[in-house]
Amino acid sequence: MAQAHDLPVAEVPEVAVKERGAVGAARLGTLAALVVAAALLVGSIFQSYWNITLLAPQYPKGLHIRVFVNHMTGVPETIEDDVKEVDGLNHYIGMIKLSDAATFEQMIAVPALVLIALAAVASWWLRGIWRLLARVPIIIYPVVFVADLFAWLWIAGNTLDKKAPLSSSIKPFTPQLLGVGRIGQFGTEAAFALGFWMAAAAALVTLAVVIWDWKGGSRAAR
Amino acid sequence: MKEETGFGGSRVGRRAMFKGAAAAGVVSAAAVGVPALRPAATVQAQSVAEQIAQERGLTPEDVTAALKTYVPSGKLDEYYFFASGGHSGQMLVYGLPSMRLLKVIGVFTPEPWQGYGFSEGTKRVLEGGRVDDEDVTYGDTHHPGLSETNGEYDGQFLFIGDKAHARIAVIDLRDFETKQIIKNPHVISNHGATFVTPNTEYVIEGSQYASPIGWGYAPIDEYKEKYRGTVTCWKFDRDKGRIDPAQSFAIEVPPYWNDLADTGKGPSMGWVFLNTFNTELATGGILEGNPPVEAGASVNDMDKMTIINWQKAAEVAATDKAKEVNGLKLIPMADAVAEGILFQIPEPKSPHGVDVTPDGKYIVVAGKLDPHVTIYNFQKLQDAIAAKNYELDEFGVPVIPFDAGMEAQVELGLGPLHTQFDNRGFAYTSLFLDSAIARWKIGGEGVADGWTMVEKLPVQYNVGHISTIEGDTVTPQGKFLLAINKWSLDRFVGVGPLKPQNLQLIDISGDTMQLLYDGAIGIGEPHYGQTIRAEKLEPWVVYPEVGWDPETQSKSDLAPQPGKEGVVRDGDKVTVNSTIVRSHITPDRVEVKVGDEVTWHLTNIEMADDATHGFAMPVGDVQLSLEPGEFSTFTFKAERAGVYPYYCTEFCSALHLEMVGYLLVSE
Repeated sequence: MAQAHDLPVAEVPEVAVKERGAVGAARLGTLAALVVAAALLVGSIFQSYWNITLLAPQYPKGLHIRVFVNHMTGVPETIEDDVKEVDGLNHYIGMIKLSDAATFEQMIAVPALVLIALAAVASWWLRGIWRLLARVPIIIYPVVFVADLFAWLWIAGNTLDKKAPLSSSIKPFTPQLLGVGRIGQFGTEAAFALGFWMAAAAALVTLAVVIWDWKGGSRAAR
Repeated sequence: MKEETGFGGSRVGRRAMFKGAAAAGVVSAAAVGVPALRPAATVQAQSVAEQIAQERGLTPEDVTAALKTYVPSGKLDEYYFFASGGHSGQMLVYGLPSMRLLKVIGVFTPEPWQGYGFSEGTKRVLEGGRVDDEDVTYGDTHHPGLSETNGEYDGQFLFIGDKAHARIAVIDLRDFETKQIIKNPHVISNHGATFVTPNTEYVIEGSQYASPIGWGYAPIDEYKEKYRGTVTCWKFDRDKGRIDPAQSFAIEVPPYWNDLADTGKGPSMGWVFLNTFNTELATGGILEGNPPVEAGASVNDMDKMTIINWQKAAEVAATDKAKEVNGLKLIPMADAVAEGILFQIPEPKSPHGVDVTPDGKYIVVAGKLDPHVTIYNFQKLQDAIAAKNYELDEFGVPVIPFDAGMEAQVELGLGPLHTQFDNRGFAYTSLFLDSAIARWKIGGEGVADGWTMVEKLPVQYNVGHISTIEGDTVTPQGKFLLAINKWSLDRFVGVGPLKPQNLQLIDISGDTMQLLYDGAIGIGEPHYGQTIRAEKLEPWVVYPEVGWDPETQSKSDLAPQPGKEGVVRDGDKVTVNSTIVRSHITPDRVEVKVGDEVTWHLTNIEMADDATHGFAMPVGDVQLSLEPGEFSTFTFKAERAGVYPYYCTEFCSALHLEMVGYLLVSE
């Protein structure tokens, strides 16, 4: 944004030709920024968005769940399957299986993110409201992800099967979205991971382009 | 409030000055105080330690011994010690230096904790060891042998012999379970088993008490003519993890009693050496007026070491010179001699251990009734063979003159039995009668003070085998020696007349040996054991896949899968498919009728570290161990109407007691 102020001032007619060239370069710059944002978003598919670690005396190495946009894994390098183990533990309190959570979102995630990324790039060729609409999804996507994650955490913790073995000893709860929590003998530590930060960066870059366009666009209109 | 000016008019507030002074104080405390404080803490800890030592009556030597062996909670041992479990029929696994017993592996005897001998798969392993189609539920395990690659332990497999029935077992060190037992069809007892060749090409088994080959009858008067010994070379198929009897063979030898054996390595690769005793051919006959065997077999001043070229024998075994006896190839003695496979050399009377030095150049024979160890030079033996410097004895076997092969004799003390080696050029020999360990220097070219005794350390009591770290490989590691003592006498609190044996840990890293620890062995006599660096093993944490069959070491198609549990009836044959997981068994109700033959498949569908479930049922003698991912099967016939709760025998979870089901047998 700092560069926007450093740009040659449009009102000076003598430099109009030069300025047109600079504007052209800046236009190409916005394209590059949108491509970067799209690449970050598509790249985020291959990184986990949210990690949670469960610690208990009998799990000295902890149980690790990594949430990607389209699947969940444990820690790949261990022979134990942590997702299965967490599901096994959750059955005691009647929580839904991890594989039953956000199935629709996981199914559409990859094509949806690719479409959102393509739309962000395509916006460069669009004008007016269409340009803005094509950029809105990539900007609001991280917030949507967090809202959806929170919703599923709420569902998981608040729809416990009343017939589960330990249903009487665990009251409905919402697992901690971020930071440290506690469920039974388990301490939990949850945090956003690289994938989420990539998506957030994509959103911010796109937002910057929108703002720049808005400012630069008002100049061009004059 | 206006702050006062400080010295020299600079505006430093009093509070700021105070803060600065305080900070400087902390820094000085950090700079000066920490070095001062740390020794103070150590001194305090030392005084606590001294107080404890004083209260418990510990000498400074006791304290250093404790420090050398103590493995704090949460830390791991550096070595595994695999010891035979003697006539318990099992194998013992210890961790060193803590001397913690890690596992008792079921081998020749059913072991319910591991479900060994209760599941169909493990029953089949035990059935492999049937003697004349009869189940045998014990073995007399003597000499474990770890698989080797290039003369070093590779940590993959473990072999163990059963002296009582001449059987060999194979243990897979991925899951520490016995995979195969085979019965030698030629002979009825062994002793020199198991000794592996440097790349585990063969597992060597020497017979012990001579008998008619093929296990028939011959009158004892015809001992010399009809009784024989054998040396069996069992071919090991590493990919399959099994001995392949079809590719194995034996060599007929005179009816002396073969004792221990060792395989050559380096320059002596391709050869195997066995002690023999009873060259007198004594067979007892106390009631007939003969001397007992112990006297009759100890008359001669010299017995004979048997020297066999197993590589050449393998070539001959592939020809029609080898004849099949009870399905196993045998190279007759005359052919073995004619082919240059079989030689002998005199050795001092009633020898016991024969051990090849790490460089493969020398063979050390311990005299048992002779105070020396006798060292043979492999090259000299080869030279004598090449020069045909031998005479044929009454069995037609070429016997090399003692002096032609002997390199040195070292007088160590009374009752030398077994020798192991370290990484500093020392050999260690157990002295049974002296109850001591002798450390002596290996000689040879360029070695000063070679073939000399260095030091003796008393042990308690009647030491048999010893084991140094990888002490019979090409690269011994030194550091520790285990004395496997037959008697413990006064070393432990009383547990009745049958006393534990005493497994003593000795530090051999220093200039003098130090006895560190008495470990009680509360199960049969561990004749021999081998010690291996822990990092050489890669045991599984859980089975590689859900539905794993440890018998085949692969995933089984029969393994019940989640969602497909149930009871299938076909006439009076009933198949139950169960999955088990914390904390339920599915199905938890099984109804059958009297007369039904039930086959019950179970899969532990868990893959969590240590999430083992047991499965016990009060009918049909059922006790399984289902380790994470494991598939297992048992069968039984429903004989009596009744209600039989089956349940998990491992305390697997908080709801373990609820992990139960009912078998209902109706008329």
